Amino acid sequence: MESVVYFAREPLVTRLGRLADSGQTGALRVPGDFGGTIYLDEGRIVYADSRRTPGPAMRFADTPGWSYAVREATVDAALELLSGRPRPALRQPFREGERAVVEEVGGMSYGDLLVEVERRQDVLDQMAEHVTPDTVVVRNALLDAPRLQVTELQWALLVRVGDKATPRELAWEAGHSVFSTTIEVFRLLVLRLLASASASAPRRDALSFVRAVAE
Amino acid sequence: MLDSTLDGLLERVRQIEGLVVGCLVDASTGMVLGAARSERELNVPVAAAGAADVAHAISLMSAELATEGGLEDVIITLKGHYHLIRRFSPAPKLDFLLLVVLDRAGTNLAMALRQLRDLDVSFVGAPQLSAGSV
Repeated sequence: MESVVYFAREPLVTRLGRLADSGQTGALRVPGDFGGTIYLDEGRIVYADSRRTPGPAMRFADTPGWSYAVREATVDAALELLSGRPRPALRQPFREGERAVVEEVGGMSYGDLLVEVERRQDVLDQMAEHVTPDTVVVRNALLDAPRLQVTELQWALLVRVGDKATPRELAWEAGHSVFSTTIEVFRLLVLRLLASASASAPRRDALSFVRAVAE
Repeated sequence: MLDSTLDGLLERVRQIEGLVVGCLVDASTGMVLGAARSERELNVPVAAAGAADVAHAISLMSAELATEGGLEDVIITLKGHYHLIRRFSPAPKLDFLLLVVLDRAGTNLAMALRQLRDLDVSFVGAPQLSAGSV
Protein backbone atom coordinates (compact mmCIF):
# COMPACT_ATOMS: atom_id res chain seq x y z
CA MET A 1 0.00 0.00 0.00
CA GLU A 2 1.36 3.41 -0.96
CA SER A 3 1.92 6.04 1.64
CA VAL A 4 2.58 9.74 1.18
CA VAL A 5 5.34 11.42 3.14
CA TYR A 6 5.64 15.21 3.39
CA PHE A 7 9.04 16.53 4.29
CA ALA A 8 9.83 19.74 6.05
CA ARG A 9 10.26 22.64 3.67
CA GLU A 10 13.78 22.19 2.40
CA PRO A 11 15.35 22.60 -1.06
CA LEU A 12 14.54 19.91 -3.60
CA VAL A 13 18.17 18.87 -3.96
CA THR A 14 18.44 18.27 -0.19
CA ARG A 15 15.18 16.35 -0.11
CA LEU A 16 16.24 14.16 -3.01
CA GLY A 17 19.59 13.49 -1.36
CA ARG A 18 17.87 12.35 1.86
CA LEU A 19 15.60 9.97 -0.04
CA ALA A 20 18.53 8.55 -2.01
CA ASP A 21 20.74 8.16 1.06
CA SER A 22 18.03 6.24 2.89
CA GLY A 23 17.50 3.89 -0.07
CA GLN A 24 13.90 4.87 -0.72
CA THR A 25 11.70 3.60 -3.56
CA GLY A 26 8.93 5.85 -4.83
CA ALA A 27 8.07 9.10 -6.59
CA LEU A 28 9.00 12.61 -5.46
CA ARG A 29 6.53 15.05 -6.98
CA VAL A 30 7.39 18.68 -7.70
CA PRO A 31 4.13 20.60 -8.17
CA GLY A 32 3.53 23.58 -10.44
CA ASP A 33 3.96 24.55 -14.08
CA PHE A 34 7.72 24.04 -13.77
CA GLY A 35 7.35 20.80 -11.88
CA GLY A 36 7.67 17.09 -12.56
CA THR A 37 8.46 13.83 -10.81
CA ILE A 38 11.65 12.06 -9.82
CA TYR A 39 11.41 8.27 -9.38
CA LEU A 40 13.74 6.33 -7.09
CA ASP A 41 14.37 2.63 -6.74
CA GLU A 42 16.26 1.69 -3.57
CA GLY A 43 17.89 5.09 -3.60
CA ARG A 44 18.88 5.14 -7.27
CA ILE A 45 17.29 7.69 -9.57
CA VAL A 46 15.72 5.52 -12.25
CA TYR A 47 13.60 8.09 -14.06
CA ALA A 48 12.53 11.73 -13.98
CA ASP A 49 10.08 13.76 -15.98
CA SER A 50 9.40 17.46 -16.17
CA ARG A 51 6.66 19.51 -17.74
CA ARG A 52 9.33 21.50 -19.58
CA THR A 53 11.41 18.67 -21.08
CA PRO A 54 10.38 15.87 -23.46
CA GLY A 55 10.30 12.24 -22.37
CA PRO A 56 12.38 9.53 -24.06
CA ALA A 57 11.76 9.39 -27.81
CA MET A 58 9.56 6.40 -28.56
CA ARG A 59 11.53 5.75 -31.73
CA PHE A 60 14.11 4.15 -29.42
CA ALA A 61 11.62 1.71 -27.88
CA ASP A 62 12.78 -1.89 -28.30
CA THR A 63 16.15 -0.77 -29.66
CA PRO A 64 19.58 -0.76 -28.02
CA GLY A 65 19.17 3.01 -27.70
CA TRP A 66 16.19 2.86 -25.28
CA SER A 67 18.26 2.75 -22.12
CA TYR A 68 20.26 5.73 -23.33
CA ALA A 69 17.09 7.64 -24.26
CA VAL A 70 15.60 7.08 -20.79
CA ARG A 71 18.80 8.18 -19.09
CA GLU A 72 19.09 11.31 -21.26
CA ALA A 73 15.43 12.26 -20.64
CA THR A 74 15.97 11.68 -16.91
CA VAL A 75 19.06 13.87 -16.69
CA ASP A 76 17.38 16.53 -18.84
CA ALA A 77 14.35 16.62 -16.53
CA ALA A 78 16.52 16.58 -13.40
CA LEU A 79 18.53 19.52 -14.78
CA GLU A 80 15.29 21.44 -15.24
CA LEU A 81 13.88 20.54 -11.82
CA LEU A 82 17.08 21.07 -9.83
CA SER A 83 18.02 24.29 -11.65
CA GLY A 84 14.66 25.98 -11.19
CA ARG A 85 13.83 28.64 -8.70
CA PRO A 86 13.82 27.39 -5.11
CA ARG A 87 10.41 26.14 -4.11
CA PRO A 88 10.60 26.17 -0.33
CA ALA A 89 6.97 27.19 0.04
CA LEU A 90 5.61 24.27 -1.96
CA ARG A 91 5.03 20.85 -0.51
CA GLN A 92 6.71 18.10 -2.45
CA PRO A 93 5.03 14.81 -1.58
CA PHE A 94 6.92 11.55 -1.78
CA ARG A 95 4.77 8.57 -2.66
CA GLU A 96 6.44 5.41 -1.45
CA GLY A 97 6.35 2.50 -3.83
CA GLU A 98 5.06 4.50 -6.82
CA ARG A 99 6.82 3.62 -10.05
CA ALA A 100 7.22 5.36 -13.40
CA VAL A 101 5.04 4.40 -16.34
CA VAL A 102 8.14 4.41 -18.51
CA GLU A 103 10.07 1.16 -18.36
CA GLU A 104 12.84 1.83 -15.88
CA VAL A 105 16.46 1.08 -16.63
CA GLY A 106 19.50 0.83 -14.40
CA GLY A 107 19.35 4.39 -13.15
CA MET A 108 22.04 6.58 -11.62
CA SER A 109 23.25 7.22 -8.13
CA TYR A 110 22.27 10.56 -6.60
CA GLY A 111 25.95 11.60 -6.58
CA ASP A 112 26.48 10.81 -10.27
CA LEU A 113 23.27 12.63 -11.19
CA LEU A 114 24.29 15.71 -9.24
CA VAL A 115 27.75 15.80 -10.86
CA GLU A 116 26.18 15.55 -14.32
CA VAL A 117 23.56 18.22 -13.54
CA GLU A 118 26.28 20.60 -12.30
CA ARG A 119 28.38 19.93 -15.43
CA ARG A 120 25.37 20.73 -17.62
CA GLN A 121 24.64 23.89 -15.64
CA ASP A 122 28.21 25.04 -16.36
CA VAL A 123 27.85 24.27 -20.08
CA LEU A 124 24.58 26.24 -20.18
CA ASP A 125 26.26 29.13 -18.33
CA GLN A 126 28.99 29.21 -20.99
CA MET A 127 26.39 29.53 -23.76
CA ALA A 128 23.99 31.81 -21.89
CA GLU A 129 25.35 35.02 -23.41
CA HIS A 130 24.31 33.71 -26.84
CA VAL A 131 21.56 31.15 -26.32
CA THR A 132 19.51 29.59 -23.54
CA PRO A 133 16.82 26.91 -23.87
CA ASP A 134 14.27 29.73 -24.15
CA THR A 135 16.07 32.12 -26.52
CA VAL A 136 14.16 32.85 -29.71
CA VAL A 137 16.23 32.07 -32.80
CA VAL A 138 15.50 32.62 -36.49
CA ARG A 139 17.03 31.41 -39.72
CA ASN A 140 19.78 33.76 -40.85
CA ALA A 141 18.52 35.39 -44.03
CA LEU A 142 21.82 37.25 -44.47
CA LEU A 143 23.95 34.10 -44.62
CA ASP A 144 26.85 34.58 -46.98
CA ALA A 145 28.50 31.20 -47.31
CA PRO A 146 28.93 29.33 -50.58
CA ARG A 147 28.71 25.88 -49.04
CA LEU A 148 28.02 24.45 -45.60
CA GLN A 149 27.58 20.91 -44.37
CA VAL A 150 25.16 20.10 -41.57
CA THR A 151 24.50 16.91 -39.67
CA GLU A 152 21.24 15.01 -39.81
CA LEU A 153 20.20 16.44 -36.44
CA GLN A 154 21.13 20.00 -37.41
CA TRP A 155 19.07 19.66 -40.57
CA ALA A 156 16.11 18.33 -38.56
CA LEU A 157 16.30 21.42 -36.34
CA LEU A 158 16.75 23.88 -39.21
CA VAL A 159 13.64 22.69 -41.01
CA ARG A 160 11.61 22.99 -37.81
CA VAL A 161 12.61 26.56 -36.96
CA GLY A 162 9.94 28.07 -39.22
CA ASP A 163 9.60 31.81 -38.60
CA LYS A 164 11.17 31.52 -35.17
CA ALA A 165 11.59 28.98 -32.39
CA THR A 166 13.37 28.34 -29.12
CA PRO A 167 15.66 25.37 -28.45
CA ARG A 168 13.05 24.06 -25.99
CA GLU A 169 10.33 24.10 -28.67
CA LEU A 170 12.68 22.42 -31.14
CA ALA A 171 13.57 19.74 -28.58
CA TRP A 172 9.89 18.80 -28.12
CA GLU A 173 9.33 18.72 -31.88
CA ALA A 174 12.47 16.77 -32.76
CA GLY A 175 12.27 14.43 -29.74
CA HIS A 176 15.70 15.28 -28.34
CA SER A 177 16.68 16.54 -24.92
CA VAL A 178 16.48 20.29 -24.30
CA PHE A 179 20.14 20.31 -23.27
CA SER A 180 21.47 18.59 -26.40
CA THR A 181 19.20 20.71 -28.61
CA THR A 182 20.48 23.93 -27.01
CA ILE A 183 24.06 22.85 -27.76
CA GLU A 184 23.14 22.05 -31.36
CA VAL A 185 21.41 25.43 -31.75
CA PHE A 186 24.58 27.04 -30.36
CA ARG A 187 26.58 25.29 -33.12
CA LEU A 188 24.11 26.54 -35.73
CA LEU A 189 24.58 30.06 -34.33
CA VAL A 190 28.37 29.66 -34.65
CA LEU A 191 27.89 28.59 -38.27
CA ARG A 192 25.53 31.57 -38.74
CA LEU A 193 22.79 29.32 -40.07
CA LEU A 194 20.66 30.63 -37.21
CA ALA A 195 20.66 34.04 -35.59
CA SER A 196 19.37 35.35 -32.30
CA ALA A 197 17.85 38.82 -32.12
CA SER A 198 19.61 39.61 -28.88
CA ALA A 199 23.20 38.54 -29.46
CA SER A 200 25.92 38.40 -32.10
CA ALA A 201 27.18 35.07 -33.42
CA PRO A 202 29.22 33.26 -30.75
CA ARG A 203 32.89 32.46 -31.12
CA ARG A 204 33.45 28.76 -31.74
CA ASP A 205 35.53 28.44 -28.58
CA ALA A 206 32.81 29.97 -26.39
CA LEU A 207 31.77 26.40 -25.50
CA SER A 208 34.24 24.04 -23.83
CA PHE A 209 33.30 20.75 -22.22
CA VAL A 210 36.71 20.65 -20.54
CA ARG A 211 36.07 24.01 -18.87
CA ALA A 212 32.83 22.60 -17.50
CA VAL A 213 34.63 19.83 -15.59
CA ALA A 214 38.05 21.35 -14.92
CA GLU A 215 37.16 24.66 -13.30
CA MET B 1 19.48 -3.10 -22.95
CA LEU B 2 22.13 -0.61 -23.92
CA ASP B 3 23.82 -1.03 -20.55
CA SER B 4 24.62 -4.68 -21.25
CA THR B 5 25.96 -3.90 -24.70
CA LEU B 6 28.04 -1.04 -23.29
CA ASP B 7 29.41 -3.30 -20.58
CA GLY B 8 30.37 -5.81 -23.25
CA LEU B 9 32.02 -3.09 -25.30
CA LEU B 10 33.98 -1.73 -22.35
CA GLU B 11 35.06 -5.22 -21.36
CA ARG B 12 36.59 -5.60 -24.80
CA VAL B 13 38.21 -2.17 -24.54
CA ARG B 14 39.95 -3.41 -21.40
CA GLN B 15 41.67 -6.06 -23.51
CA ILE B 16 43.55 -3.46 -25.59
CA GLU B 17 47.21 -3.62 -24.68
CA GLY B 18 48.54 -0.58 -22.82
CA LEU B 19 45.10 0.71 -21.83
CA VAL B 20 45.08 3.57 -19.35
CA VAL B 21 41.45 4.66 -19.79
CA GLY B 22 38.63 3.80 -22.13
CA CYS B 23 35.33 5.60 -21.99
CA LEU B 24 32.19 6.09 -23.96
CA VAL B 25 30.94 9.65 -24.32
CA ASP B 26 27.75 11.08 -25.78
CA ALA B 27 29.07 13.49 -28.43
CA SER B 28 25.86 15.55 -28.27
CA THR B 29 26.00 16.31 -24.57
CA GLY B 30 29.52 15.40 -23.43
CA MET B 31 28.08 12.99 -20.82
CA VAL B 32 30.24 9.99 -19.90
CA LEU B 33 28.16 6.84 -20.43
CA GLY B 34 30.65 4.32 -19.13
CA ALA B 35 34.34 3.87 -18.45
CA ALA B 36 36.99 1.19 -18.13
CA ARG B 37 40.32 2.06 -16.62
CA SER B 38 43.58 0.60 -15.51
CA GLU B 39 44.92 1.09 -12.02
CA ARG B 40 46.80 4.19 -13.11
CA GLU B 41 45.26 7.53 -12.17
CA LEU B 42 43.82 9.65 -14.92
CA ASN B 43 41.02 12.17 -14.68
CA VAL B 44 38.30 10.47 -16.75
CA PRO B 45 35.86 13.43 -16.84
CA VAL B 46 38.58 15.73 -18.20
CA ALA B 47 39.75 13.18 -20.78
CA ALA B 48 36.16 12.55 -21.90
CA ALA B 49 35.39 16.27 -22.06
CA GLY B 50 38.54 16.77 -24.11
CA ALA B 51 37.34 14.16 -26.61
CA ALA B 52 33.95 15.91 -26.80
CA ASP B 53 35.69 19.25 -27.40
CA VAL B 54 37.79 17.74 -30.19
CA ALA B 55 34.67 16.32 -31.86
CA HIS B 56 32.91 19.69 -31.42
CA ALA B 57 35.80 21.58 -33.07
CA ILE B 58 36.05 19.09 -35.94
CA SER B 59 32.29 19.13 -36.56
CA LEU B 60 32.40 22.92 -36.96
CA MET B 61 35.42 22.64 -39.25
CA SER B 62 33.78 19.92 -41.36
CA ALA B 63 30.63 22.03 -41.64
CA GLU B 64 32.53 24.99 -43.04
CA LEU B 65 34.77 22.93 -45.31
CA ALA B 66 31.71 20.99 -46.53
CA THR B 67 33.86 17.92 -47.02
CA GLU B 68 30.83 15.67 -47.47
CA GLY B 69 31.76 13.44 -44.61
CA GLY B 70 31.93 13.54 -40.83
CA LEU B 71 34.51 12.56 -38.28
CA GLU B 72 35.56 8.89 -38.14
CA ASP B 73 38.47 8.86 -35.75
CA VAL B 74 41.19 11.02 -34.26
CA ILE B 75 44.68 10.01 -33.14
CA ILE B 76 46.35 12.37 -30.68
CA THR B 77 49.99 11.69 -29.91
CA LEU B 78 51.32 12.92 -26.58
CA LYS B 79 54.81 12.19 -25.26
CA GLY B 80 53.59 9.45 -22.96
CA HIS B 81 50.14 8.58 -24.27
CA TYR B 82 48.05 8.06 -27.35
CA HIS B 83 44.48 9.32 -27.27
CA LEU B 84 42.32 7.52 -29.83
CA ILE B 85 38.83 8.85 -30.43
CA ARG B 86 36.44 6.76 -32.49
CA ARG B 87 33.05 8.13 -33.45
CA PHE B 88 30.18 5.74 -33.98
CA SER B 89 26.44 5.40 -33.85
CA PRO B 90 25.09 2.33 -31.98
CA ALA B 91 21.52 3.16 -32.98
CA PRO B 92 19.93 5.63 -35.38
CA LYS B 93 20.31 9.23 -34.20
CA LEU B 94 22.78 8.33 -31.46
CA ASP B 95 26.18 9.95 -31.74
CA PHE B 96 28.80 8.46 -29.44
CA LEU B 97 32.56 8.80 -29.02
CA LEU B 98 34.76 5.99 -27.79
CA LEU B 99 37.92 7.42 -26.22
CA VAL B 100 40.85 5.13 -25.54
CA VAL B 101 43.95 6.45 -23.79
CA LEU B 102 46.98 4.19 -24.19
CA ASP B 103 50.43 4.09 -22.65
CA ARG B 104 52.82 4.70 -25.57
CA ALA B 105 55.50 2.44 -24.14
CA GLY B 106 53.13 -0.50 -23.74
CA THR B 107 51.02 -0.50 -26.87
CA ASN B 108 51.11 -1.03 -30.60
CA LEU B 109 49.28 1.88 -32.20
CA ALA B 110 48.37 0.10 -35.42
CA MET B 111 46.98 -2.91 -33.55
CA ALA B 112 45.06 -0.72 -31.11
CA LEU B 113 43.51 1.29 -33.91
CA ARG B 114 42.52 -1.90 -35.69
CA GLN B 115 40.92 -3.26 -32.50
CA LEU B 116 39.03 -0.02 -32.03
CA ARG B 117 37.62 -0.11 -35.54
CA ASP B 118 36.67 -3.76 -35.12
CA LEU B 119 34.90 -2.92 -31.84
CA ASP B 120 32.90 -0.25 -33.59
CA VAL B 121 31.76 -2.64 -36.32
CA SER B 122 30.93 -5.48 -33.94
CA PHE B 123 29.11 -3.16 -31.54
CA VAL B 124 26.95 -1.59 -34.20
CA GLY B 125 26.40 -4.86 -35.98
CA ALA B 126 25.70 -7.01 -32.94
CA PRO B 127 23.66 -5.06 -30.39
CA GLN B 128 23.00 -8.11 -28.20
CA LEU B 129 26.55 -8.55 -26.90
CA SER B 130 26.60 -10.37 -23.62
CA ALA B 131 27.19 -8.36 -20.48
CA GLY B 132 30.59 -8.32 -18.87
CA SER B 133 31.95 -6.83 -15.70
CA VAL B 134 33.98 -3.63 -15.85
